Amino acid sequence: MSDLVLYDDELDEDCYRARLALALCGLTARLHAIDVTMAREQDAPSFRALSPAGRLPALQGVTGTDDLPTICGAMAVLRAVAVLAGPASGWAPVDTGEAASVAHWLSFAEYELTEARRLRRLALFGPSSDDCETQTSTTARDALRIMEDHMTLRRISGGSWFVGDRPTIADIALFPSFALCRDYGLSHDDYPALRRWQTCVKGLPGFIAMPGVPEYG
Amino acid sequence: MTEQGQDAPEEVDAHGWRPVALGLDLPPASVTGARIGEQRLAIWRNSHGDVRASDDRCPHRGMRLSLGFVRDDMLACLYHGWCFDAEGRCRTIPAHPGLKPAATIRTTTFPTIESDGLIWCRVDGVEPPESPPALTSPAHRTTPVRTIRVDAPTRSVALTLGIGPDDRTAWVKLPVHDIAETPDDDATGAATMVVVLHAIGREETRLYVLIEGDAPTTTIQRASRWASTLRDNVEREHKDAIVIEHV
Ligand code: FES
Repeated sequence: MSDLVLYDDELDEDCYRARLALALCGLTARLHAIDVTMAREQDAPSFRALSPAGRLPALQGVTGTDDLPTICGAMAVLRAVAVLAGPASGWAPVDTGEAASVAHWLSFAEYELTEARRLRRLALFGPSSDDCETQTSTTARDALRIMEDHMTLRRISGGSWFVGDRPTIADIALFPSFALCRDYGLSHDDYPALRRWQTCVKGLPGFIAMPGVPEYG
Repeated sequence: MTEQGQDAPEEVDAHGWRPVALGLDLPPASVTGARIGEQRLAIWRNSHGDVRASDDRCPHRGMRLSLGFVRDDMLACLYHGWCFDAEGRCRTIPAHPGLKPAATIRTTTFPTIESDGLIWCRVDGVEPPESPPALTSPAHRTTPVRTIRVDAPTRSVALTLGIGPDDRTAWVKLPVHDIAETPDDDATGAATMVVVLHAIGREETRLYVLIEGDAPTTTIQRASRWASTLRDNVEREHKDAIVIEHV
């Protein structure tokens, strides 16, 4: 395998998904910071050559040093990382049922958690040009409730993870949106099942934190 | 939804005790936030299982202690790591490791008690505190189902459940067959569900759902889904009611 390079923004939720996946799967990547604030490096031609839509995170070096385009977007990076880690790592899906359930939650993280990501960005960095007016926090809340309801049923039947009996990339895809929801004013107090799961995620070997996600708790 | 077979509504003779969490939702060495009226609380459990309640405000810079964590059987503030013991006294200040903090640096603590699967707390300062209400006969243990938050006034939830509207903490017993998902659903047996309501704000209610005695996993899961549906229905009706008021 060639060297991995992750194009990264430290405070971005999706980039954290990618860094967390690499860390938990025991892979190392060189981090290349993209300044998305004043410099808007995500729009620079050099970055657009790697990530045509200017999307972060972007992982280079998966298929070769000059693979183009790179693997762009958190969910794609998560899948790539699980494959790179290999079956022995325990992060690749073991059977069709598990793979399908993981795909379900990755899709949930991509679409249903869009509002959660947007509200956090809005709270931390203010409105950007591509923000439309109508937003309520109920959409983000409803998505977290679906996760809470699911993990309550999982806990009742003795499960600790979103899918199956061990952590999968579904957990990595969902974790940041819950862990960071305090950034835009949602409390963890109303989600006891997700709090319990969060403690399990934080206890995984290789776990890394980010600003807004304390190492403990 | 519960026209028949429902016990008469019972008021909690709570003597000032209020439910703040299901015991199950507070594992050893963890902390969570709660509210009784205007009092915000950090409810935490040490590694031996003992539960404590403290004012949710760090005496250092006023940050919320419920955002912190439990270390060495003390409640640690997330921001600068000041640690508070069971009595609320500050024991360590990481920025000054050699310093023994003054006895005056402390948080207010409140009495707690764990019974029937619930953690109760009181903030009215009455001494000596009586026991919290018995939800079931002492012979029964309870099986916790879940905590669920409803974004609607407690009055609306109580109305839907058919219980007295004005109590800030109330509870109701429902036969589990009321929550059968299909008419010929017989897996529920004769179990009884206990639902405890607690107002955490004008527009927010917390429900603690338990089952009397032991219950099979399928019944507990059904009770959990019943609570989700109740939440969604009450919120929808409450929203509709607001719309009508404003027409
Ligand atoms: S605010 Fe709690 S230690 Fe500083």
